[in-house]
Amino acid sequence: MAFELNVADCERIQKDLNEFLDLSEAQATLLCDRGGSILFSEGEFQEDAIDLICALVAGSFAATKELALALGEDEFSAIFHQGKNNSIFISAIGEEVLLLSIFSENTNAGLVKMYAKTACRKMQGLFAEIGDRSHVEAEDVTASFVIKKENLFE
Amino acid sequence: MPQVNYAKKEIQFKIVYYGPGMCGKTTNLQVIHEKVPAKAKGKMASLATSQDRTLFFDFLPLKAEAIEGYVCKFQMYTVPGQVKYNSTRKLVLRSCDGVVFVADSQLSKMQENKESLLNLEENLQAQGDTLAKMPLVFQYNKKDLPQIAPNQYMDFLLNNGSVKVPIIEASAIKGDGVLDTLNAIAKLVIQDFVAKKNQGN
Ligand SMILES: Nc1nc2c(ncn2[C@@H]2O[C@H](COP(=O)(O)OP(=O)(O)O)[C@@H](O)[C@H]2O)c(=O)[nH]1
Ligand SMILES: [Mg+2]
Repeated sequence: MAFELNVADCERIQKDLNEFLDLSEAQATLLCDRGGSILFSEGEFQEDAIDLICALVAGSFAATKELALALGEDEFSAIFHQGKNNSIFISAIGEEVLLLSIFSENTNAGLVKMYAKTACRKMQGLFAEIGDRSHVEAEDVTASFVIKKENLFE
Repeated sequence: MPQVNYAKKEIQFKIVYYGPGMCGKTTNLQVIHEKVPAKAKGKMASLATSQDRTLFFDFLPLKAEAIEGYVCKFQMYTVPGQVKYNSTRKLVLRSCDGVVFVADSQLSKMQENKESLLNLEENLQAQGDTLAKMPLVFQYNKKDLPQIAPNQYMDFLLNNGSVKVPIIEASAIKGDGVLDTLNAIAKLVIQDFVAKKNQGN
C-alpha cells in the first residue's frame, strides 16, 4: 500500500500525533507503513537514524506476527519493548500503518498504551480515506514530475 | 507505488536486492555504503548472525535529487538467500518498488539462481505484483572468478522473457558494477513512477 499524503493530511496527522504526545507524555512518536517507510514523525529523532528505525519497527512487528501465528493468534495488535531508560510501544493502525511511541522511565507505560490505542482508532479512519483515494493531485495541478538527473550516484 | 509526501516534497522508493544465498547482495550494499558521500546516506544496518550470513535483512537508506522539486529517498534492502527464510523474504518484499536480482555467475550456481528467481516471482505474485511489471535489473556478479557462465548462457536460463531485463556485469567484491547497478534500478523506478503519475494514475 502506498500512501500519498497532501498538505491537509499532514496537518491532520500532526494534530493527532501532538495530541497523543500531550496526553500520554511520551517523548516522540512516528508513523510508518508495514513495508518500513516513514509517513510522519513528531518529537525528537536523530535525522540519520529515522529511516532505519522505521525499517526495524516494521521488521519487528512482522517477526512478532510470525510468533503470533505460531501460537495460534492472527497477530499481536501491539508490542512493547522495555529498556533501562527508554521503552517503546508499537501499535497497528489498520492493516497498513504502525504507530511507534518512545517514552522514558518517568512516563507511565499504561497511559501511553491507552492513549496510543485511542490515537490509533482515530487515525484508522483517516488512513482508510487516504488509501481509498485513487489519485492525489500535487498542490499545483499543472505540476508534472520531471526527471532531473539520471546517474544519481557516482 | 512509492510513498509521496506533498507537504515535505518527498518521495520514498523501496528497492530490494534478491538472489540466492552468498551471491553478493550484502556486499553490494556494503560497497554502496562505502562509496556514496555522507550527505546522500543514512545509517546502515545488517541484521546478521555471527557467521556473517544475513538472517533478517540489510538496510541502507539513500537520498538524491532525482525529480525536480522533490527529495527522493531510496530505501535499500537485501533479503536472506537461504531457502528456509522465505517468510523474511516476503516481509522485505512488501511494498517494494524495484528489484535487483543478483545472480552468481559461477557455473555451479545456475540451478540456485533459477530457483531464487522462481521464488521471487512466486512471492511477488502472492502480494499482487508481477515480475513482468516490476522495475527489475539483473546483476551478473562474481565475474572475477574462474569457471563462470557466459552472459549469453545466463540470459538463456534467467533472462528469457519476452522483454529483456537490463543486465549489469559485476564483481561486487572489487566494487565493479555496483554503482552502475544502483543507478540502473534507480532510473527504472523513477521512470516507472513518473510515467504513472504523468498519465494521471
Ligand atoms: N570472488 C567474488 N566474491 C564475492 C563477490 N561478491 C561477493 N563475494 C563473496 O561472496 C560471499 C557472500 O557474499 P554476501 O554479500 O554475504 O552474499 P549474500 O548472501 O548474497 O548477502 C562473501 O564471502 C563475499 O566476499 C564477487 O564479486 N566476487
Ligand atoms: Mg546477505
